[in-house]
Amino acid sequence: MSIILELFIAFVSIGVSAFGGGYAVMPLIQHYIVDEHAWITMIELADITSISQMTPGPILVNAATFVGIKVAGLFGGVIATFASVLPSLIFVIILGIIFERHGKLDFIQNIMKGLRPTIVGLILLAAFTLMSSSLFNDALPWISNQIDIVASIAFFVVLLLSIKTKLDTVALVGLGAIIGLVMMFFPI
Amino acid sequence: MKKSITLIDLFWSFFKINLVTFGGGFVIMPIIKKTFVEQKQVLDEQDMIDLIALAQSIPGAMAINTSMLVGHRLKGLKGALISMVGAALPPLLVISVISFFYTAFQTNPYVLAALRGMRGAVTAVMIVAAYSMMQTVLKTNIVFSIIMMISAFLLAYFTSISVGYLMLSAAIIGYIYFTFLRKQVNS
Repeated sequence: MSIILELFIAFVSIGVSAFGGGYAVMPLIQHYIVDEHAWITMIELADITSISQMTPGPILVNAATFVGIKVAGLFGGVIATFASVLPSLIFVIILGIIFERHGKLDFIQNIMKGLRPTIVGLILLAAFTLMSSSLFNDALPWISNQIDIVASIAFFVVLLLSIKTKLDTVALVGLGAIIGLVMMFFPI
Repeated sequence: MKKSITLIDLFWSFFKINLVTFGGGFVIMPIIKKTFVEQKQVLDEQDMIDLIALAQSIPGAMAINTSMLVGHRLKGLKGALISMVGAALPPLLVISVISFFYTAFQTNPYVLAALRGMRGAVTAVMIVAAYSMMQTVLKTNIVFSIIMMISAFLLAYFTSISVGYLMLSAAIIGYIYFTFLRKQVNS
């Protein structure tokens, strides 16, 4: 079997079973990629995870690109990346159609009323976790004495601009990068 | 009033969003919301929260799922495909470049300094958007919504229950509460 086809099947399998997102996908990648095919080592998987934290995109997609390139070059990377999102695409189309046709039914609306506040609760938790990790070096804000000054300055400047102006997210995050670089020359 | 959007605009929106948001998962949700609800005004906040809930209930990367669902809602099948490419292309490009010299990338002081600032900025954008989503959700069924929201927050923080089970339970609770219990109260 060609390596490209194997890559495709492995990442479709991971994509289909990756419920919950984020780190939930790690054991699946380990199973299919590290144990079954030995395409990368556990150490490389750990590296991918930390790189994934610093780069755009979900871990699943990042791992697919990385593994695909390593095993079969750039074409392998493209195929593996496409394979990792293909199952989602199929589900999105099916669910999107069902929701558009029947979304107004009481049955679905009652379910949504339960899901909406839950999703917002999870988003608030993600915001809280992100704040702890980026501003307080992973400690809880109220007990931390290791505040990341650079990230905090960027945080407050962007917070203010985000409330007061209609600036684009790209511009705001770009400004964060500039603040980070400028602060290199003013060590606190 | 809801406006309309072109396929090219849809592509560029997701390309830009996925280029600057790292970490994946829930971090990207409020940023997608900010773009499509506040700036482009093609969806209202309630629609957006519904799509995020749907994205969570299917397998795969959440950021990509939400992007595709938004694309599908706005522009049908073509929209879903265009959004998929727009969302997957930035990580594909960035990782392709990085995979050739990733140890240098991880230890470069300029990269690390820029990332510290970017992290702070993304946190700010996310908090502002998360707060406005909370306000939207608390407009209706306030007591029920507060209890569900706080329970989800605490359960996800203090226990290792997977998000999938939390969503499933929330769906069942919502269905039972609003179909049977709430009806009795009204009648």
